[in-house]
Amino acid sequence: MANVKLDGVTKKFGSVTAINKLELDVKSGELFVLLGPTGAGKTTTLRCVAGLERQEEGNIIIDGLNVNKIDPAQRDVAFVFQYYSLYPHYTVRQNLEFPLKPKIRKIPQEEIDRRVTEVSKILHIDHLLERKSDKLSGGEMQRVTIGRAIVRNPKVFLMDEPLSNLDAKLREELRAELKRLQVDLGATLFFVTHDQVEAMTMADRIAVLNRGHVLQLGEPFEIYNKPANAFVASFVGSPAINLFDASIDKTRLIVVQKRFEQTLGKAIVDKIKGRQGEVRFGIRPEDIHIVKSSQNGYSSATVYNIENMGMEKIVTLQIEDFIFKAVTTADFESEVNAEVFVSFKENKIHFFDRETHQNLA
Amino acid sequence: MAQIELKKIWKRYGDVIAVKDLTLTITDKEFLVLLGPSGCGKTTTLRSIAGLETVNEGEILIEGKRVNDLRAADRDIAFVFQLYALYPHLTVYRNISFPLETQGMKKNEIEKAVQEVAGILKIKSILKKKPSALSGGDLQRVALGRAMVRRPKAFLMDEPIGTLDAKFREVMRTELKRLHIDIGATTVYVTHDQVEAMSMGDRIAVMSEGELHQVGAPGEVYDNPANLFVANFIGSPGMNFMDVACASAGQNTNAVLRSDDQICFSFSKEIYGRLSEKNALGKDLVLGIRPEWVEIDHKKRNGQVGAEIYVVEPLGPSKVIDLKIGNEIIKTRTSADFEAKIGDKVWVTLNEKKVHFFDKGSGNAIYKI
Repeated sequence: MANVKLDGVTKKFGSVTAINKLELDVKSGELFVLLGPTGAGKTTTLRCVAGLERQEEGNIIIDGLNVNKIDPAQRDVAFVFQYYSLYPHYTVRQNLEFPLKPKIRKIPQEEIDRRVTEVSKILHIDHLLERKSDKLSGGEMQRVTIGRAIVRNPKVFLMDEPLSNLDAKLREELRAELKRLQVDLGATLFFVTHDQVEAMTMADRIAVLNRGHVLQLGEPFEIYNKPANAFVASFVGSPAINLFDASIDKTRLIVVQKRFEQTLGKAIVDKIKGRQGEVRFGIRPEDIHIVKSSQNGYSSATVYNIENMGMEKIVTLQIEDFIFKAVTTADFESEVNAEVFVSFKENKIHFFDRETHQNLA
Repeated sequence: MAQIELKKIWKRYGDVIAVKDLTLTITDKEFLVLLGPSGCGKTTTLRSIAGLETVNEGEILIEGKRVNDLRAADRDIAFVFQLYALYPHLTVYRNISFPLETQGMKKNEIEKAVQEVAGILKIKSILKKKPSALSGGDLQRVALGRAMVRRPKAFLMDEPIGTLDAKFREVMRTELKRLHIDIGATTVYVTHDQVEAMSMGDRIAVMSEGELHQVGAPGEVYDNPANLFVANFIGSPGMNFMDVACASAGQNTNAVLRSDDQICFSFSKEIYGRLSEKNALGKDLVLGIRPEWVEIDHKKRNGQVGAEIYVVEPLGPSKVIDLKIGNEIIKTRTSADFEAKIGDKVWVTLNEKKVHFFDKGSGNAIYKI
């Protein structure tokens, strides 16, 4: 399996710079996820690697070879799009065979049959081989689409939000399967999505992209627990991290016009190098503690909304104009407009610079 | 009282039965979610309430009055298709006033109605703007405003936030739910996303293949799913299932895997008692347990079953780990710091108080936990 390197890649569409001097290094056998909102430049990046777009600047290197001047068909990458693009009048078998058929590939029918059988078994579609592809369910179609990519034994798989067109439940099921498949095949998989749950559960490493720039590159755990800036912090995690403007006065954290105050311990003050003054402060919903009656170190808040998610509850809280979310255990009971008391887990507080939004730790 | 009643509704398209014998009452001011996979009949049901489809059999009543023969326009309900279908050349004010202008309402009455709605939706400050200048959240409010201004008896929403980015969907869920609390109108909301359903519904009506499986509050459908379909569909990841045969063994109940009779989960004899009460012991049973109630350990303790780690999915505050037990694969949810690598051997216990049993034939739950 190959590695993929993007070396200072810039791609423009007219006056819009979609990706800007992008540097990425996808390792061989890695499931690498490019995560970002719509318009971040993720699909553009993938298309440049495939050769479907030609970049203005920079190099794309696959397995040590600079492929800038090489046509998509010759780059030996398999692209899986968001919308399953199967030939409806062909059977599943015919769809899977198709990429191997061109005479130019010189693959004997025996070998084609062998690959089709193997791939269809891996993807649990072997019982569907003789069915016409317009008679398949969404999940089955997507598996055939992925199968069509695998059967070519490419150096690299490029997948552009391949699951986002599927029902939520099916997406969940295919995520784990796809991850397991990638591990079993030892494939280099370069995967693009706007769905951070998908990114977190599948990736060996994630690159968070926004407006054509990589904001942070790292393992899921690192991206989640040590976000480089406020954007990354708020993009990863569901419900999203709560972000407030705050100020630090010696060891006192003051939020929301003094309606919320908490004393900070030495550990965190040291972590942000004794920073004082105006900051941007972030706390994840699962790191907020709610109690029903007033306690030392807790501040008053009103319940704005409660969502019963089954295994936990999401409680939306309000202090003055500020709305923020906390996650509680499933047995937490309260009602809208009730008064509760909250505190933030100190070792989980993130501080960001008010101007640059960079993490102060 | 804007109650909506569906009584024994059938809808066919040629040979295809889209909705089968559906009976459902949506109470006044309720936020009722119709939840199910693509093709389950939820949109057909919604469109039937709206009057955009006519049903083959059954009755639809709004506020106690039969509306089967009333045109959509006369049913006094607002259908919100896509929250972005606003007139781009009109201001927010005129987007909202438009439905009233076409009705020939007086200008000062229109003004009053629009201002009232704008106040509730907190969009007074953007009344003079055009849609292209608005954020997604504001666009959604304006679309809702246009639906609200006619003071419909109910709102019908068909997957209104499905096409939005995952992040934005999350924000909109809370907004829509909160708006419902503030406005207090009966709302029927269609989605295939169970997270959305759980988050927003006062009750959830779970459908598949034209049939209604269960209606209940989120906690209820989650903790006590009526059948295998609901148990799997609700919850992310869905409930784990294993085919088992249960037998009494002294002070214990043994649930032996049908796929490998060497593997057995042990419970107290209370489980045996409950199954026996419902005459379930002779039947083919499916054991169900949600991932958060599958406990795993690196060290073996009494009565645990061995498993191998098959996939690890980190989620941030927790991890979902796929475990291979014999030929079965079940999922567990652990804290984020639980050490786990593919191939690791671990030991599994199922929390007895949270174990479900289903009849394999009918799919129905044997008893409530």
